[in-house]
Amino acid sequence: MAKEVKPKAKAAAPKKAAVVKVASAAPKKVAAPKAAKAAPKAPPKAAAKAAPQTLGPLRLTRRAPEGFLLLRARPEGAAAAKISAALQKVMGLPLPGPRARLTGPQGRAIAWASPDEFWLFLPQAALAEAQRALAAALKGVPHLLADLSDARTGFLLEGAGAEAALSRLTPTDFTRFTEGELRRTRLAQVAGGYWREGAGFALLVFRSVAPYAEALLENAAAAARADLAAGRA
Amino acid sequence: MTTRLAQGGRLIDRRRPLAFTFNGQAFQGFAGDTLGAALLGAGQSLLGRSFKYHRPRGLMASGAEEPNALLTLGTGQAARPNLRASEVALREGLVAQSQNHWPSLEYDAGAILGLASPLFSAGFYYKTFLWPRAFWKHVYEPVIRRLSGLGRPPEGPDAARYEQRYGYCDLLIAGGGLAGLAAAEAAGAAGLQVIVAERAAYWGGRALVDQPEAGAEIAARLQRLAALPNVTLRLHTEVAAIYDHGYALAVERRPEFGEDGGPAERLWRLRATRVLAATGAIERPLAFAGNDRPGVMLASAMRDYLDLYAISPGDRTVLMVAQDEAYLTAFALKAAGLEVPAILDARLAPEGALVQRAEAMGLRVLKGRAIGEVKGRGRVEAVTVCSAVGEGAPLETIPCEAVANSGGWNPVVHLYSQPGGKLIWDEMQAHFRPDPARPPRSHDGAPLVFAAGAANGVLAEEAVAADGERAVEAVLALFAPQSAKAARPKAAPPAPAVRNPGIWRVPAGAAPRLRRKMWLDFQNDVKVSDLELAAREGFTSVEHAKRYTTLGMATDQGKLSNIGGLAVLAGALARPIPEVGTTTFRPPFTPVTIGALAGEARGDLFQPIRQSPIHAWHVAQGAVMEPVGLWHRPYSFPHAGETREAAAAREVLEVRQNVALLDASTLGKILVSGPDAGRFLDMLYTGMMSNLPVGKCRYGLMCNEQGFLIDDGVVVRLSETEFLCHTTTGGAERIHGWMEDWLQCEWIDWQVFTANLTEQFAQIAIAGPKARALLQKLGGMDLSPEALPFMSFASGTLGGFAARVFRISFSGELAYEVAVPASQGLAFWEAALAAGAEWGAGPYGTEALHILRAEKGYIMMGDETDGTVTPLDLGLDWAVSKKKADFLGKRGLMRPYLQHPERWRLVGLETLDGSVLPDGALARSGAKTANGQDEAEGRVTSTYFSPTLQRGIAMGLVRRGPERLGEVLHFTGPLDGGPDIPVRLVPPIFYDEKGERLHG
Repeated sequence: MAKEVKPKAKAAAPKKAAVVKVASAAPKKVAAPKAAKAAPKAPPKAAAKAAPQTLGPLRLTRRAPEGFLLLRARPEGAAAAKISAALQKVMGLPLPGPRARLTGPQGRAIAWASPDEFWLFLPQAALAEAQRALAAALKGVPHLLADLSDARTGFLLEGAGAEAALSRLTPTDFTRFTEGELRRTRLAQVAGGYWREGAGFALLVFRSVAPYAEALLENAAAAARADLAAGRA
Repeated sequence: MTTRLAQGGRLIDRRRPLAFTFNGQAFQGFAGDTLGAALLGAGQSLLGRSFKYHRPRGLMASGAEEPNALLTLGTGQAARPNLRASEVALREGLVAQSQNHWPSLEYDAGAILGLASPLFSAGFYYKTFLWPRAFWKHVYEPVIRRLSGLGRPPEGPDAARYEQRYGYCDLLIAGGGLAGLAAAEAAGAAGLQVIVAERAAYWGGRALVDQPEAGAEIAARLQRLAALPNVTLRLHTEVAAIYDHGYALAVERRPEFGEDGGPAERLWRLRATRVLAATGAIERPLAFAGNDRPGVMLASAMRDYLDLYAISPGDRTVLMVAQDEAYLTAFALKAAGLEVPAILDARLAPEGALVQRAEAMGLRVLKGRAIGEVKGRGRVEAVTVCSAVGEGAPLETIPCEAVANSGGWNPVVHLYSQPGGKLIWDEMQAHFRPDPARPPRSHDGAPLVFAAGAANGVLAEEAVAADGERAVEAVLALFAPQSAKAARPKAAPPAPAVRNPGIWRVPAGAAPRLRRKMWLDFQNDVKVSDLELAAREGFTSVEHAKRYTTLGMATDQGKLSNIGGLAVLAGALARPIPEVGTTTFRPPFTPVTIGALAGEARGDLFQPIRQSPIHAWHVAQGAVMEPVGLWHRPYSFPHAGETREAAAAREVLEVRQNVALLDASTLGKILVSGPDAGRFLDMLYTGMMSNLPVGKCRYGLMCNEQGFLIDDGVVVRLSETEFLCHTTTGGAERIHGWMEDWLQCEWIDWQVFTANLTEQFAQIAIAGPKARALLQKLGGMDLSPEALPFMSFASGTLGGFAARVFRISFSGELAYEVAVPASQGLAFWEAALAAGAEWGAGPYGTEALHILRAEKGYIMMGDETDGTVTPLDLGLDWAVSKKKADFLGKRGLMRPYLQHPERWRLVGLETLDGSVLPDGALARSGAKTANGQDEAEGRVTSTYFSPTLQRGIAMGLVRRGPERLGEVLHFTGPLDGGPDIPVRLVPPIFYDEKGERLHG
């Protein structure tokens, strides 16, 4: 799941290739909204539909707790290089580009969450040291750094029909949602974030609504499973 | 009588009979039938009663436009009211019932209203029920409600399952007729992501019936479309609404009704870059006397029932037409071996090819003739023939069982109109159609919705597919402008061959007696005479006439009646139809169930409930939970046999006498960080925050720009550049958004960042004289008064937990709030309870919290404030800086009205007899208002029984309150008629005025 990313000075955009992409006839670039207007000239090839049996049955599990640091800072002007260098040094990853989630060694990842907000994922054991090191490396750069490891609950929704299940809850066009992209949006009535992971999706919701989100995801998964069993689209 | 023919029926499978019941009676139909077809096949043509006059009604149409045959399916929790029999797919064991009658469909007491129909003319309600006023509530409304109304909702929770899904496409095609399918193929071949939604159970639309040779073409197109992975085809799916930027709602009504584990209905929330409305056209009926009798049908519907389901409308059918295509019905009936005694054509000299063909076949075509009146009780028995231009004098009477009628076709322009597309009047075809020059536009200024086929006014069947392809050319040009230049523009659709003269009612000079029997709106019982009356009474705008007569306001939203109605209005006003214009087409196209709109949001998923890290413990302890925002918080923790109120009183005393714990995790905690954080908080709070020393806490108030209080809480200075702002439980997200709003939109150059840490921490208040002892027993931090004085904080390890300890108090007692990571919240809670066991430490809930703070006169947002209260009103002047140059609300507070000495201000209220004041009670000034009501000069904002003082205590806002301490006012209410309660005004602090207990 986690691929090493070679250090880059520039902000990195999400990878375009999608591993579990379903029926995407016209994959379009994430970073270039204009691409949505250009119609492909040739008729699309038959869908590269991932066979359900290879994905396994749809299942929902809780993700193990992991370290989560919130970094708010503006990567503008001279600060950009400093922030990027700090992240490279402490996380082994560069500053991600819009909507990207970069994964690095030892369970580390950085996600772009807004123009001045970045989510840092790392093992809990490494959290305190990383927080200290980042604070030191960011000296002189206005920023906010907070441990929010307990503020969210993670889920893993994996298997055949994961997209169909999520499409009941969240407004995302999954044919254009690539691997390595973080989407902050909503799941029915609550805020949520997710990215492609394994044979499905990793999801984050706020801790206080985890029971709601779990029931919600189970409900959607049951509907997707029933559709699949009955051969319904 | 209607019957099933022995031969034919394109959609039915005679080898699969299906049993069902209608009003308790057993019926049989076939797989592939609609419920309406099956009922007609079994000879049941009476299917309902009209809304106003309770007139007997039968099926008039074969699709969404059906106004009459609204049935309830299923019973009890599975009941589904107001479904159109013309569209419900027949299922084995289906239970159907007719609506709007009593005691039975055949003998309806309400039908007597029909005899009195001259009394119930347009505007009847407005004219009749003005006086006497009380009659409306007690007499008219209950009677009207019993007599009117359509189906009834399910009894108990709806047993069906509903769901919603999001979907995306480049092009959404509404309608799977020839135009829609041709367009889908063209767009699919060009690589667009396409969704085609067809509301019927089959593809092909009208072509299936009216173009026998098109069957092969439809099948071939469907086969080619199935091979395109970028094209999704959905039957039973209605595009109900198009909104701005291509947001569309489509309702998938699954015929299985959820028997197969799937949902009964699915609401698609689609985002389409462009939309193609290939929604066809609706045949419009002619208005003639008695045109609502069961047996009178649209000509096209009669063809549909005959061709698709092998339904005979009766042995003898008379046609009443004013356009050519309706002649197809005569040919179909003849081909099936049924009789057509006459075709009455209201046109004086029709000469089209179909007319000639009818004459060549030897059919009796009476030109310039019309139906004078339909004869028969409860069904068609005969028609009288009259001159189409005369007054209706009968020339002959033709016995018959059915009447097919047609005045022309109205394009289904709904989806084009909903987001703002304009219509033009087509003189040649006498209908409104989409104006290609004024389409609804998307964010980029390009057209959002295109129209094709009959929806575009292209009625000639052979031109429909080409029109679909033409529309897609225009769509593709928007996706790839370069290739469009090369593409040759398609020729405009051919002009119609036959002119429609625009005949709306027959005969032209019909006498008033006949006009009162000419129905326009069948569901709401609006007649030609009603529209004419409205015009005479001055309702000359089509929107006014609609509301006055209720034309088009029924569940069918006037699909059959609107255009005819406005034509009649235009006639009465002697104005051209396009000048009168149409009413507005609003979404949805047909009614959408509340179930579909709610989706999964029911039962446990109705609304998210936010739970603190200690929530499960509270529930396990039997706490009484109460909603606070989306959180559920413990109100109190009753012991066995204890009421919730008694428990709260006990908890108060536990805090006052020993120590108790409150789960305060729900309080908002917002981190504000950056070099400009102090300056930022000085603007947000009314008090000064930038000079707060590191390690100290300060109470702060927030106002909006108008100077009214919006939130309060304790601000903690964590470091030189970091502040932690506590907010109210309900205010965390709102205040965080408020901060971001100012930072992102106004003070964009300030170096400040915020983060909502609310969910990261469990926060536990430990309050009472033994609070310090309890924490010291946990150990690990120096919590002595010297190390941690009041309004300061310390970080450390407490009992093995990484903790921040704030010495703040909302009870007036020695108290601390301890924040630990949320994952440790329950463990710390239990450790603290264990440590406090020797003092009997237990939990306390929100009610005890409220009483404790009220005893101390501490205000509560939402009790003492309601959006119109300022800090000065509450005597909180000390928390409003006079030195600061500016803060949010400063200018607002300077307004004379907010400085006015007569404002109601906070005081304590003490009943003379020690009783508890009713919540919301008002102080009577003794004067009267301009309306003759008692004038109030104060109100209760908080009122409790104080367990500490053993009497009632209250706070309230009273005119010039603090200046009137000692005065006795008379409170009453909050409802009329309560006793006057004498109340003395006192300072708003009832306990420990000097605040000594804060120090333990």
